[in-house]
This record gives sequence, C-alpha cells and structure tokens, in this order.
Amino acid sequence: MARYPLIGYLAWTVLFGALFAWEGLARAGVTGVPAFSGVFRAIMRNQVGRWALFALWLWAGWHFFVRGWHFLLRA
Amino acid sequence: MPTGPVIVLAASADRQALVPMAAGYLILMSALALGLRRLYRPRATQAGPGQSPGAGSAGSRRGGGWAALARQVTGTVVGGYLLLMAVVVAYYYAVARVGPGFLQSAVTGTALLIGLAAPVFAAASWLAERLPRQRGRPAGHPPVAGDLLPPREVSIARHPVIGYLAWAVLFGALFAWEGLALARVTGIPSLSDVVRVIMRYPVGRWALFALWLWAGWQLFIRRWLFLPRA
Repeated sequence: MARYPLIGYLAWTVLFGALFAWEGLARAGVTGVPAFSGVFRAIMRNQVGRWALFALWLWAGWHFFVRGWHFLLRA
Repeated sequence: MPTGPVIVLAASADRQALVPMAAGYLILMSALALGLRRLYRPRATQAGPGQSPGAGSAGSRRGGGWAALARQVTGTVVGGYLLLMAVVVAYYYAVARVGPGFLQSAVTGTALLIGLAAPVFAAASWLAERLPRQRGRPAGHPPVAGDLLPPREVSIARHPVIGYLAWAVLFGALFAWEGLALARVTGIPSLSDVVRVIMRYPVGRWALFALWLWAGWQLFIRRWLFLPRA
C-alpha cells in the first residue's frame, strides 16, 4: 500500500469534517441550511437523478468491496 | 532526456482522473439543479387541478402498496444499473483501457452486490414495517399508493438556494481533491487509499460495508416506506 504524508489524510478528514459540520448545522435547525437528506431528496425528484445516485452508490460498492478481489475456487 | 513519454503519461493520467471526476460531478449537480428547478417552480404549473401538490412523476403512478414500491425500486435499480454500465463501457473504450477483466468485473460484481443487498433490504423493510412507529400508520400496515410520493417537498422549499450551493461547493471540493489524487499529485492520497487504510482491519471492512448497505437502504427504500398517508 502506498504511503502518503499525514497531511494528505488530514485534508480528507477536514473535507469530511466540513460535510459533517454543515450537516450538524442543518440538524440543529439553523435557518437556510438544508440537510444532506434534503439535497438527495432534491436530486431524486427526477428519474435520472435517482438512476445517477443509484449508479454512484453501486459504483462505490463495486469499487471498494469487489474490485481486485478473487473469490475462492476461481481460476 | 525523455520528456515526451513523461508528458504523454501525465496527460493520460490527467485525462483518466479528470474526466470521470468532472463527469460524475456534472451529472450529480445537473440532477440537483433539475430537482431544485422543479421544486422552486410555481405550484400552479407543477400540479393539475386533480393532482396532489408536489406529486410529480411519482404521483401519476398507478396501483399502490407493495406493488408500487416494488415498481419504484425496480425502476431505480434497472435504470441505475444500466446507467452505470453505460458509463463504465464509455470510460473503458473512450478514456482508459483498464486491466483485463474490468468490464466483466463491472457487470458481474455490481450484479453480485445487488444480489447481496436485495435480501438485506427486504429483511430491513419487513422489520421496519413490523416495528411500531410514531408516524400515524400502524405497524404491519402496508404502504398505500399515496405513501409513495416524493416526501416533504414543501419543507425542502423553505431553504434558500444558497444552502444547496454550499453543499455543491463541499461536494465539489471532495471531487476536486479526489481528482488531484488520481492525477498523481504528490502527497495526496485518493479516497480509495483512505478507505484501504480503514479496510485493513476486518472490523473496518464490516463497518464500511454495513455503512454502504445502510446508505443504500436509506436512500432507495426507506424514504419510500415511511411517508405519511396522502
């Protein structure tokens, strides 16, 4: 596994922290801040949005859990 | 000094990194923009006199209960699967010929995941329906046609567009950072690298897989189950 400087991982932490912080503000009822679910609800209002989101979810599962794995008894 | 191949390699890496990132972001944001456009459109032009407000495409769905839910979910699964396959094939032939077995893995691997997730989702939905809830519908009561409408649209509209723009910027930062990582900018790990660190341990793998399943159920099943009666 490639090694990266810690700052690279910290940047990811900061980005996800910002997402969680914004979601926290929405959950706390701060005016004008929609929740994460609200964004997805808006995306899924049309059929293509639902397909795109499902494709993204499926791709994430395939990319992280399936790709590169070799099942038992596979030639 | 062989600068030619290096430049070609870098350009190829940029292309492989930036095209999928930019395309993914654009598709998501276009869907968001379309959804918001429909949401903020004046209601008079959105719903006819006999149509329930905010029903949209789902409101015109015939039939009810579990059959309507099954139709809704099947439509999303089939459409999403075909869309993903189209993107994967386009990526393989137009952007990067990733290693052998890539297309086969995409077709069978995603089908396997759907097959794994389906019984889990069915069990979770059955359990959720059995559990007593405080939403007005008694436990064990199957959803009716009016239940399967896009939920709480009025409450979405309360938020100004700037709130959604902030989300778009945050997502943009994530996609951009991932793009830089895939373009092999020094010192930037990709999201896959971060996930790989977590998945080195069995508990991390289980937790991530459970999180992925939970997200899928929340997004594509639960929201259609627990809507209040029309």
